[in-house]
Amino acid sequence: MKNFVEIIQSSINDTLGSWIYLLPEISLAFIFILMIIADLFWAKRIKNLVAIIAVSGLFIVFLEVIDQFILIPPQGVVLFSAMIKLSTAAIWYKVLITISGLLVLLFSLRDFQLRNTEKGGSEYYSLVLVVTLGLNFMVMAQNLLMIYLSIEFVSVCSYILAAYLTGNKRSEESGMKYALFGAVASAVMLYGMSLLYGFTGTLDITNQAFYNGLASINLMSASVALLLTLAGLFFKISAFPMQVWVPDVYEGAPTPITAFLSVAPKVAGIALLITFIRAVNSGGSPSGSVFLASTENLLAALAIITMTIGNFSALWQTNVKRLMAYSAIGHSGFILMGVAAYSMTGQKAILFFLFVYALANIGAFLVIGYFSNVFHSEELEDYKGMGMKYPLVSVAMVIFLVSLTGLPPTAGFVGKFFIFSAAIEAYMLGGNVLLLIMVVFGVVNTVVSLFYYFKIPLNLYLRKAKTEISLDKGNLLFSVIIIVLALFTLFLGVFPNKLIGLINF
Amino acid sequence: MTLSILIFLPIAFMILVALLPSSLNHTFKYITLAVSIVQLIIAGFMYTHFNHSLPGVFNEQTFQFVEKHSWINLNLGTLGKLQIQYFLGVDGISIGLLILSAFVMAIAALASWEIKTNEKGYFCLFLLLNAAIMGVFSALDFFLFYIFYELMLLPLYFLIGIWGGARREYASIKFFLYTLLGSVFMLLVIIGLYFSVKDPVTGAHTFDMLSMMNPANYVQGSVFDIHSSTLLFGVSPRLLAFAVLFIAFAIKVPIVPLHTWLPDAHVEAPTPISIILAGVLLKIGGYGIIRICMGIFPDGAIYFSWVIGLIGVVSIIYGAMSALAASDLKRLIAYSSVSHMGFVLLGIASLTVEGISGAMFQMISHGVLSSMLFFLVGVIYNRVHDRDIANFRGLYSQMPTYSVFVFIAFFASLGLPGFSAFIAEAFSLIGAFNSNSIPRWMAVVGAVGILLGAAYFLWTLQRMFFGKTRFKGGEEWQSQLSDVNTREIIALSPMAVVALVLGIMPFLFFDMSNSAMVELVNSTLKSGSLHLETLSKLLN
Repeated sequence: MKNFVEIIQSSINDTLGSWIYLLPEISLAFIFILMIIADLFWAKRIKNLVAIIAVSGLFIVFLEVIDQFILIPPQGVVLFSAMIKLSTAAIWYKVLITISGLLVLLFSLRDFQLRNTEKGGSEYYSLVLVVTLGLNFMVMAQNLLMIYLSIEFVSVCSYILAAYLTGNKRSEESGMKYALFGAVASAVMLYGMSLLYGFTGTLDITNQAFYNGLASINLMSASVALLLTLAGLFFKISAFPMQVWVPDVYEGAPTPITAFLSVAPKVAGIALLITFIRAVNSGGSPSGSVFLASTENLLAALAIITMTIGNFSALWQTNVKRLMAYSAIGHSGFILMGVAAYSMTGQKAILFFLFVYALANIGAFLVIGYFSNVFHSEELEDYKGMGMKYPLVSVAMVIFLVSLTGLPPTAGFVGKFFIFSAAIEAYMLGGNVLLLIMVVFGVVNTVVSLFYYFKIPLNLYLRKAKTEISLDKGNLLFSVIIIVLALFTLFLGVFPNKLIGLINF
Repeated sequence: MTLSILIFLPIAFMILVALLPSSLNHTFKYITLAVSIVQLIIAGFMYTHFNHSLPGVFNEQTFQFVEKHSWINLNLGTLGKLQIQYFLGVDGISIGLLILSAFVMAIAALASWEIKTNEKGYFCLFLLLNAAIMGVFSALDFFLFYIFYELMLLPLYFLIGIWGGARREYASIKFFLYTLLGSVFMLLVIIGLYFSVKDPVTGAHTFDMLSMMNPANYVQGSVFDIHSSTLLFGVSPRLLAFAVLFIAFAIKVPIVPLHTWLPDAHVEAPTPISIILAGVLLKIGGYGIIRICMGIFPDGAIYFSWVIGLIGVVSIIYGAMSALAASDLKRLIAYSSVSHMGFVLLGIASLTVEGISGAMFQMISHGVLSSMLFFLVGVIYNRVHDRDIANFRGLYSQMPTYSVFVFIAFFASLGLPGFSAFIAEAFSLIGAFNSNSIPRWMAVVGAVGILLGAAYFLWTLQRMFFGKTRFKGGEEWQSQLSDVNTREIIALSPMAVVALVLGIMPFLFFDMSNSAMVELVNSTLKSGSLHLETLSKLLN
């Protein structure tokens, strides 16, 4: 009985001690409530009140996240009886998620479609904040229960966001598709998790018992359980075979949300995937984990298939958002390359790649949003000759696309360079030829991607505009953000150590 | 600082041009020309201050105008540190090409007077291209080299794509894809190399090309270590790496099966860009093969010399045959470039001092002559927007001064003694004859190529310039086809003079490069055969 009291005492202490590390998440929740109240009482009187609260609130959260670098010890802290773990890596992912959230909020402020929806924008802003909250938990989760909850949290809100433009058939269809696919994915994942629990008797994936339990049973059964669980994650990062929803959803969703969906959930999904790979490879035996070879092979094969499917399908697209959707699939393949090499090389390369991908991808979607505000079209056809009419934005678009292709002197090149290096390094350390084949595929895909990315500058610059109608001037706020992002992309391409030097873990 | 100024001067002025209002459109070409002239003066300064006795090539101490700063230092992964340097320098291999680039860029700037639309974009891209070209020839860090190498592609894509001819979309993306395909595979070799090579001083993994050339710097057992017995896809990694790098650069040269981007790009590009393409861009391929492929993988250079020689000979003959069949004057000159660049490969494959000096000299000579030829095509194309050989007759009586320049350019290109191309081709062939690494018949077939060259140039001369004056456009063309103006004479004369001076006084170039060539050939033969011996022992 005395023992029991001690346990209660220590777990209460643990819980109480954990709150301090959750400051950004608590703030997010508060801001969310504040926004709802503000929307109820003062929204009519003060224009854009909710949006202003959202942006300034998220900025404060961003500062709080940065502050956590100082707060935690180098090895990270385990919180709430091993439900979540706050490590330096997790903070980096949170930084990335918060930055993308902020950019997307700014983006949404002036988006034509969102401003003209009958519902008004208030709920929209609150939902973006809630998704950010869920994503923050996703990158920290390390208990199956927590993982499932955070993923569902994110999913449910994303469904609503994707379908936010009610009355627009495309958007409704997109939300519906997203919800259906998502429901299947999470059901499959839940099934996998139940198997994992059954095999190991623990929900904490970093627990030694988790690995031991999995390692002791038949490799086939363990693999099935793991694969089913991973399927849910693959849905989030749009990797093969869970990528089919991407083009329709990206095309139909409001452009800022597409930008957000293409970056933030992917970042969180990759973070979770790494947590998983770590857990199943953390075997204490000197010979290494029994899953090492199979996870490496599986991820390498998936990386190859994902990027090849994404890049080759993109070749035939005529809608820019759809094209970017396939490019996002291709990029998932590239990130998976880094994850496949992860067990050997760590996640610096992945993190840097995610950063530059986020910059360039959000930038590109901002330009798409900018153009669609001006001439209400996202078809490649209508981009003809726009490069001469909107020179600054178009130059920025070229910089983003060059970065996405991975050519110097942009950040995308350095990112790709690190990913290739990581894969080759992993090959040298482990000698798995599949990794080398994966790199060759990566290289060929780079060339393929150039072909479709450059369809956009081709139309912007090389072709003449169809009509000579004078169009509106674009939005100033957009142009400023776009140019800042483009300058960042160039800056990180020339001085990558300014960022990667900071990433220390 | 000299090299940095050479590289960043155009970038500074690119920013200036971008910021100036479009109402100053007409001044951009003068700004660009001024930049090129300043660069030419700097290049002249470097020529006079270049110490001929220092060989360079493998030894950092004997490089000149060296600049070395730490740029990117990272602690990445488990294999140790990564070190990228801002490392510039020139030696006998690069100095000639650097001067050539400054010269060709000035000519191209003069030829840019024909650009009438969207001048701001054009001159910004032009200056960016200029900076990248200077960077490629001065970079001694492989990472830096690669950045400049790729940086050239982007401005070229837009320069061909926006200001080009009818099929410009196709030509520009084809050019881009071809080059990129080669260079992304090159990137993999670069990554492999930096994992294999350690800086002897700092102990960090380095991209320093000179460190990569010294077998002592390789980490024991790493992929590209000479004593490593690992195989990649069943081939020795060093030989595979040589092949990959060679193909990447050979696409630029271009070699025959991979040359098809060149006629399209040349024909569609506006005149100044054709001049840059033929005058400088193709040389980057040759330069890369000599500096990087041979320097880092001498074993590959010996092992593949037969293949390289064969590719050279095929390019010479195939290029010349295609030129014979061409009906468009610009396409004819483009194919003649393929043929002439074949001599560069033949000279390289010979692995003799004469051969490689000849190859280098051919690059300089062809740089000047092909710029002149493309400029000349531009002259008539600007006047009547047509350049089909069959549409012109008896141009001599219509445009006498122009025709004189054409005669000089054609005779110089077909290898008339007294002009630079004669010396260059003669040296390449002598090298090929004396070579131990390639059979004699290659030299003989190469010589036949000169004959074919004479055939297509003389035949063109006869068709277009002699006989009774008759044009497809009739009276209208007759009034448009005025003789060359002052600007054109200013641009054409230096090229004619340089071709002649180099033909009469080739030592102006050879003195500069000779010590480097001797060093390169001796060391390649020595360490290359040593490596091959080690390799064959390891494999048996």
